[in-house]
Amino acid sequence: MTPASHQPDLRRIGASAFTEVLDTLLSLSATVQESADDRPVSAAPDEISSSVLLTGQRLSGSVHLRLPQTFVACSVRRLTGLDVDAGNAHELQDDAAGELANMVAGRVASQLAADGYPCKLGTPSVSHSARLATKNPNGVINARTDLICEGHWLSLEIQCCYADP
Amino acid sequence: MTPRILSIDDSKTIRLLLARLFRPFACELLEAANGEEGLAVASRENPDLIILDYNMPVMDGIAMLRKMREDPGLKRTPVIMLTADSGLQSLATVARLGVRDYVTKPFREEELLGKVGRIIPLISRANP
Repeated sequence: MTPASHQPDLRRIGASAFTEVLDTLLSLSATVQESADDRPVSAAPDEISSSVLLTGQRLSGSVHLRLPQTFVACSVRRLTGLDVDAGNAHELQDDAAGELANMVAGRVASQLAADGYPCKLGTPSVSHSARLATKNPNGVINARTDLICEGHWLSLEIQCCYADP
Repeated sequence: MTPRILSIDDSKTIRLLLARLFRPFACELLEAANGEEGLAVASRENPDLIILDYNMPVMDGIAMLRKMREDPGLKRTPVIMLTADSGLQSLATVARLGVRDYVTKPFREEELLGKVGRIIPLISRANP
């Protein structure tokens, strides 16, 4: 396994990637929360979870976002100019949540590549019942970052498994 | 002639974003949800510019670019690649396939408009 001291700082990478996407795409600023321990790990009924797989020779893993539906609806409105009361609101919200995960994963992959761990992105998947991980399977590093943005609590989790150096 | 832009992205959010972005300008926006659909629309409509997503199901942006470069009717159509993957390897690949420019997602709207404006004229509908 790659020694822990040589591994990328996933929490820093995640916070940087997520805040950059919110700022560039939505012109929204976000505050990184220092402690994520007091947040329930199950997605609430009004939350959307979106994930993207990362695949590389030295690393495999995934990037997960957990976003309140009201935040995603606000994002759709900002991006498309469409009101979410339209008939295809749920389809659009799921699509937007997937695209946000895709962009955050892209930024994470870019930073991992700069740290010597190049990887490719998978296609985003979206769920309304996903859980963030509570325990790490053997060898899997789990880094969670919570952000407050426009009064919404947003969560990002990066899971990575490093191949032998 | 009104310039025609073909937006190819599996994300409906991005296609709607581009529709909003180009609405103030005198141009026609066409769209497709993957490379296969995009190739069919491009062959039929002969757009002045294609804005092409890198990572898509069915046929991704790279596969579509390769098909375009083999097609005498499409091989000179300018392409701007949109990609969430800013890795050097993917950028080198798209450069070899002759894309005119690329934009990394997330992008600032003015960045994309600036790059499109360098390829086709973007004239405001309010001030033709």
